[in-house]
Amino acid sequence: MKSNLKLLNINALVLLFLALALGFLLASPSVPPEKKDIVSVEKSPQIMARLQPLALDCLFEWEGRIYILTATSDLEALDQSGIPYTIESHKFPALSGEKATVQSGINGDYHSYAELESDLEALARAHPQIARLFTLGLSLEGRKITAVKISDNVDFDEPESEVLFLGCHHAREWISVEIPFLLAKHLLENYTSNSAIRAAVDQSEIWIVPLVNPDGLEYSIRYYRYWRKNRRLNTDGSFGVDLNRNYGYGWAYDDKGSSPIPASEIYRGTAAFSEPETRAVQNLFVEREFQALVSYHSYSQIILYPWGYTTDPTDKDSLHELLAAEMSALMQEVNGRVYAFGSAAGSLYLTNGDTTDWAFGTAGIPAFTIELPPVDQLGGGFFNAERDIMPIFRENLPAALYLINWSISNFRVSKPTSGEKIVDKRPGSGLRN
Amino acid sequence: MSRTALLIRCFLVPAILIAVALSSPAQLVMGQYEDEAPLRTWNTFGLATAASTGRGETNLIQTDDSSAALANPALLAGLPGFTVSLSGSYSRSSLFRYSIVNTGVLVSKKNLGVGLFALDFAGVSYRFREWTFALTAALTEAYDRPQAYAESISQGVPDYAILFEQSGFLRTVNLAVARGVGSRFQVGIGVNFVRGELERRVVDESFNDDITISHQVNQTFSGVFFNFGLLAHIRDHLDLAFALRTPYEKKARSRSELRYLAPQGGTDILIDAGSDDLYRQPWAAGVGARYEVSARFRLFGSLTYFRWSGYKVEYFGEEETRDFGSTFKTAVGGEWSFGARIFNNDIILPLRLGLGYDRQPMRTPRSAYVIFSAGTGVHWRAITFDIGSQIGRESGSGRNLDAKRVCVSLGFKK
Repeated sequence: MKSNLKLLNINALVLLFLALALGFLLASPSVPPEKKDIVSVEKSPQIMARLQPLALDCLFEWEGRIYILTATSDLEALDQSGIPYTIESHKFPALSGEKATVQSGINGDYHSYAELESDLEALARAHPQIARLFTLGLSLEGRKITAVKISDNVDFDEPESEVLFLGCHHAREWISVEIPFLLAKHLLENYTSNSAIRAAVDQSEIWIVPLVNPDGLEYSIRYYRYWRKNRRLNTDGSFGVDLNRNYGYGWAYDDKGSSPIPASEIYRGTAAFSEPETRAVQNLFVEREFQALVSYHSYSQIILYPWGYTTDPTDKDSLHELLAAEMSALMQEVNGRVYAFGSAAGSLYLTNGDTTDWAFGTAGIPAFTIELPPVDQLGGGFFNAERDIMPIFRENLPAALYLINWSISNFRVSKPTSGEKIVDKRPGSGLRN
Repeated sequence: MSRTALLIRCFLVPAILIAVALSSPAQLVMGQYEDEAPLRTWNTFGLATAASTGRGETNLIQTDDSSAALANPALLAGLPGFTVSLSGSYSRSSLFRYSIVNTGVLVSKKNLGVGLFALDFAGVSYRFREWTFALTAALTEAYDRPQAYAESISQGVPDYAILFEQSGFLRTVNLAVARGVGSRFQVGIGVNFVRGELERRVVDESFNDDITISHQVNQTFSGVFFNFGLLAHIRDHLDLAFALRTPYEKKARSRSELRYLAPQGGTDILIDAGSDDLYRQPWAAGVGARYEVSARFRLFGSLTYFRWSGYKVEYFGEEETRDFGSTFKTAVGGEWSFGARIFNNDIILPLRLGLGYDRQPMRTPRSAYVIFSAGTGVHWRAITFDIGSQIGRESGSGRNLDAKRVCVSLGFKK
């Protein structure tokens, strides 16, 4: 009887442990399948000739590009064959196999911080000769503020015109992330096939920072769509500093163009450049010698130039007006949408401590705030339908190219002009890859 | 007021407040009250009915009903041949920082509370030869939040309003079996099916120009996990218990509708999204001890470990950051049983007390609840009626949050 009991004990304990093991096995995640990406390559005779021997799994052709399902080894083969490609997996979650269950992010076709980082990395990886990423700094919550530099010989600092495009100072202006990002994508993907773009990229250094306020954008996506500022926890318990009131020219000039009250939507912060996000832009600006700057915002459909802090004209009002008028005309040609233009204070409202006043006030360069569509609240305010992203980009593209080309033609060489390339002076300068 | 007091009031206190505010991290991650955070505590391990609640939730080692199936199924083997139990509760939790409240959009000076009535447990157990089977259903988590509504009024007429609301729950259905093994051991195993939902809504309305901005997120949850238990009679008066819950993927089918509606401008913009997401729930394990001081007086203790460092969230296809560390919950409790005779009937009146410490998983702020419990009941023949209550006071967030719960259970044993 005693031995029977013992046997029962052992059997039961063995059963229990088998059950424990079974439970763990059933609860453990399964081995993930091999990661596959969908990439696109330009459909040109040269590329097709190099692509054919690789015998890759071509899915379809769309807007002049071939879409291919690739494993890691296929990407290596593309690299070895010198075929530039763009990773497009995020557009086809159902096809990629990587995560067949995901349909779309909570923000639809708009970029979140993670999606933007991933897409910028993919762009830089696909175009290593002409694109390089830099981390300008970290946001309050530790997110990277990433810049992509686009130029031939991108690893070198050449005596070329430099232009800066900025996006998303204000979190709720989602479209202002897309336009600079799409500009970078367009320049990189059309570099080989479009001679005008090639010329612009070869003769200039184009810096694009699509997302200046990543913390605010994430809060806007995740919690409250109409969030504007960054995520600074202010001393009174309110949150946020308006990054476009935190720059150092005319900062706190008056309490109309910005506010000293932390809870205000236009709170300027405790000091000029008190925020890491604006300091990141400042650091880049100080390092480089930009000839022009565009900061994308929404809404109002208007091109603004300094001053914002006063209604007085600048000494370069005519130049600003000329450039803005030309950009507006180019924009109108695309979709017929009219972008008004004028000085910020005169055309919209007083703003002090904004990006363009600072860029113009400290460096004397043409600097524009482009308020993207729609015109008013009834047209959507800070909302743009997903289907409007590309049309808005297409009408802004010629304006951006025009400004790049204007910068090239007006570039006065202040550096050695021997034609030799200058060794990259960045290490230790504060810019981080 | 003395000069020193004046100095402190005028300078030192504001200086400290400013210093504290400056040193506080900006928070996107709410930690304590992320949208998916259960009310009261992250550390749920089964469900405590009234008797367990009164003993400080030491339900790994002692049970009066089939709710043991959810915490330590081995305890089922110690129940009478047939039991039926029903339990309901009222809980009230206070929150300060959650979603758009006190994170920049809506401001509240005080903690906000949310109360919840629920029939939160029903279970039946039955012994067949050496085996005890149980089928139980419990409302194990609630995701409700205090509703927030603010309105701005211009010239006596509302011109703008904002609304936030969230509700949700997780229900667990458990099928468990247990048996005695020899004279010293009881073992049990349970399979748990979880189902739940969460709905969150933020609506901005501008009345003058008839513009409505709304964001609605709906999620439905499902998942399966196992739990195991062991009870060992170490000595005549001492029992030890061990319980384990496997990790599991709480799968979520998520839908989002973000809409901008301006009829006067003919504008209707909809950004809708759908995703299959998951919340990778951690494994948890606990040990418990029961010491019978006398026939009428017993002491209980339990310690449960939750491996929150392995917690992962995928929300609309993106991995979300949760700065969580593994944590624990511990409790001690006691129960005195008194016999009495009322209307010529012999009854038993238990008195219960408990004390618990419940450390929450987020690293910042390092928040924990201290929980006081008390309970009593009336046991008459096969009928049991119990009531238990808890008051938890939080420290760490700087807001002194509290969590209260009153639970009433009715049981039948034969």
